Amino acid sequence: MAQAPAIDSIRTSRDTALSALNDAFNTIGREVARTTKLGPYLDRLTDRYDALGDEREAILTAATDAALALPEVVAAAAILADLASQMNTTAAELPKATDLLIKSATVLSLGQQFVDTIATAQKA
Amino acid sequence: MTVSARFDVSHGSQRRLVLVGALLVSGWLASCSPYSFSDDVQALSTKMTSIDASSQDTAQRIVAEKHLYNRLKWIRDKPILAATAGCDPNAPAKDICDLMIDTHMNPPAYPMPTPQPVAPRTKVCEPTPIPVPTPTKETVGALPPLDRAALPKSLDTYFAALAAITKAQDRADLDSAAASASAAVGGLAQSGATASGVAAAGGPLAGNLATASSNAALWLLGQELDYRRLQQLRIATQGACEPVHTLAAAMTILLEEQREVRLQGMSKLLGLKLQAVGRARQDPHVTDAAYGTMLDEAQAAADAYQAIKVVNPSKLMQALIDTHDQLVVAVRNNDGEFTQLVMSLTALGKNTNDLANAAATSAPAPSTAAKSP
Repeated sequence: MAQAPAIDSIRTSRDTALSALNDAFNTIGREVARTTKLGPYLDRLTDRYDALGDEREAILTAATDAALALPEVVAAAAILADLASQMNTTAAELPKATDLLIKSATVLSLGQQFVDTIATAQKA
Repeated sequence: MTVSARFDVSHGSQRRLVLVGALLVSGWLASCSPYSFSDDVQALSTKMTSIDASSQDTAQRIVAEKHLYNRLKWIRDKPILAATAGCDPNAPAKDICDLMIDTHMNPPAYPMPTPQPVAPRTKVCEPTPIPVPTPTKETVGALPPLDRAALPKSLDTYFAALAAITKAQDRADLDSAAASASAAVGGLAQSGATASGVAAAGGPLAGNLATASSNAALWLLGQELDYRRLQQLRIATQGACEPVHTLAAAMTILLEEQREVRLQGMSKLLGLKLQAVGRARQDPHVTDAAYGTMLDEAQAAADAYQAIKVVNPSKLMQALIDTHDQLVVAVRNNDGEFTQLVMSLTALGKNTNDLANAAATSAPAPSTAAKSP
């Protein structure tokens, strides 16, 4: 099963795209925090700040969607689901098996003690 | 030979032979038991947890006292405030996101850290002589892409199944039943001896023999139970080894997205809170109490930002992979390292809780007056 390299490649591409936006986003964010006077300047700053944020989110979402669509990721999830089902089935069977075996062992032991008793009685 | 068949004999020599064989088989099976927990290690772990909690509590008090000091001073002086350089999403965790007096200088931007590869291929997942009947990529067929909720769910379901297959309750039930059955059989043997007219000396002998047989049978059954459980664990963990690596890598990218989006939202919120504080300092009608409340809201936003920033999804998922790899090796080798495994799972649980706690951390809602005069 091919695995992590494809995902790591997506992460690297994503971060390259994000790094181009980060400086602008942080610088404008600080300016928004400092600007206490309402007016066109603050409005323009806020609009640009929101637009940069939306662009960052779009890059992040696209990268995750690409990773979730990778065939090896889909196959891995299906395999885990199958294994979990197998384990749950076995786990559910174990207590039942215990009860059954305890009952049969007790019956066997009762038969055994009867034989023992007779054998001991014959020796006496 | 089934367990029942081993005891389906009545001649003494055959019975001794079977019992010896049973003990040999028991010894072999006993080495597979997943119940080798150590009380000493658990006690040490508990004490260390206590020390760790105490240290964290002290650190939190120091920070709280510093914040209280700044709050009183800033209410008195009303300086222009800004966020520290630690409020950059790429700042290292040690650079705390906090409030500070504005120096009117933009802090240097932190470069984007290079993503560390998640889940490098290791020898742990290499095929072993144990057959692993699991579906393959081909047998899975063309399934649709996972959605965001299905990815963590698939890992959660698997780890829940691991817990179900390793839980000790049914073994504890078996041991309890064994004790009861042995006592009952011993009592019946005693009664049988009395009823058949055997001399008093013969009774206890018969009872002891019957009890011993019963104990051996039930003890063997317990080992068989553990053996079955361990075999299922071997099959499952070996089959899940690579899928867990792959899904953990995919989870990393999903958690990183959530972290970044959350930090971005908190950054915007913190900016508006600071803006509101900046306007309030220029307004002579704002009381000290009202100004203090605004400071508290800005501080809460900075604290929430810091709580999310310190979460490292890549390390978290690597911890998940490492823990599962340890499980694969421990189960494969059956080397009695289950105590270590339990500690690893505890650490994993703590890491996961850290993420959940950070995600649950919420600052007050954005002030609607942020842009009002």
